[in-house]
Amino acid sequence: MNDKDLKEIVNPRDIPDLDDASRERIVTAAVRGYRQAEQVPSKTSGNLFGNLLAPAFKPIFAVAAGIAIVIAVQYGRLPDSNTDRYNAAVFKEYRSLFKHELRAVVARNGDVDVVLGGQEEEQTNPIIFLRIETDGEPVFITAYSGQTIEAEIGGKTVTMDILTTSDQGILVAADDFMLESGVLHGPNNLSVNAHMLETSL
Amino acid sequence: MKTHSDFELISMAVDGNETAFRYLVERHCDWVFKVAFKWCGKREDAEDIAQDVMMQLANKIRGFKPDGAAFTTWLYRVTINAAKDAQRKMNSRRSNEGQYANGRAVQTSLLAQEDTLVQHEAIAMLERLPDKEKEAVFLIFCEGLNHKEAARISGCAESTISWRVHKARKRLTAWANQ
Repeated sequence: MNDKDLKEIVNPRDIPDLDDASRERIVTAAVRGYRQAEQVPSKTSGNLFGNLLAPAFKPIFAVAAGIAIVIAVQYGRLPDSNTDRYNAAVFKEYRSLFKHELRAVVARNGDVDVVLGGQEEEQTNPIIFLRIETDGEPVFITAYSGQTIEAEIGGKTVTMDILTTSDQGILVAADDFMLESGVLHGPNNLSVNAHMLETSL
Repeated sequence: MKTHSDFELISMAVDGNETAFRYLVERHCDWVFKVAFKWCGKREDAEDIAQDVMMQLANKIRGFKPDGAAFTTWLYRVTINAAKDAQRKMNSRRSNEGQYANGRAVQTSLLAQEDTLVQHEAIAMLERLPDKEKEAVFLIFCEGLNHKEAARISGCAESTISWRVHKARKRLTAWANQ
């Protein structure tokens, strides 16, 4: 379907004009709304953030923020770091076996598939970790960016490009979904998380 | 006051100038109505949507930064969101009545009497697209915007718009070949 077909489909043949009576009704209603809005005091100072920054709440806000920071520092990054360390270790193990041929490692239910390139070529791109889950079944992919990887997801083979963007973001483009800047476009039963593998190999 | 730019009218309306606000509404309500009509295909619904958008403008204008470009983008976004809301209400009402899924389809069924069956089926297919894909196709092919402008209105990356158009085109082609 080309652009001309799409344009024909989208554009209605006859677009009516707004008649004078309808226009006046809309304008009158809007002006009335404008007057009423003027009489209602601004809510800006009464929102949550405004209240928290009010003098009486400042000590409570400070204590709560302090506790949140401590929790975040002690526990927040630990699971991610552990996962990264584990995946880095697995990836490193296979890289020691396949050296410059290794492109990606795909893990599912304790099984590991190794994706090798057609020829030996030193990989210098960042390593990306992906967690793709369909209907409760997670698949873990650790791959050099810039690769096209095939993996079995949700019972079918999915081809995906795993890329890094110029602003150090991650882009994953597959047949049925796309992940860009943490935003996923795809089926509802799919979740995809991606981040750079921070642990050095 | 009719010679004032949007930028100036917004500034004055923010300061409480009712006449400036009235001019701003008069200037844009026809445009909002046409965008709404193109989305939903029904005159009465498009009028309701235009009124809803202008009421939102009345409630929110005091919070605007007087920026003309941002205002147009905002107006587009609010109009499309209002059109989507109206369409959802219509869909549930019409599905209860066992009719077509939305206003455009109903309009199309009337048009089909004097138009070709192919055209009727093509428009009905468009209505089957997911909201976001329909929005991308609408902004690009109906409103004639470029991908960058459409992305600003939809609040997403330019590549996301391209992706949605690509997906929509793929779906439409598949449905057309069925």
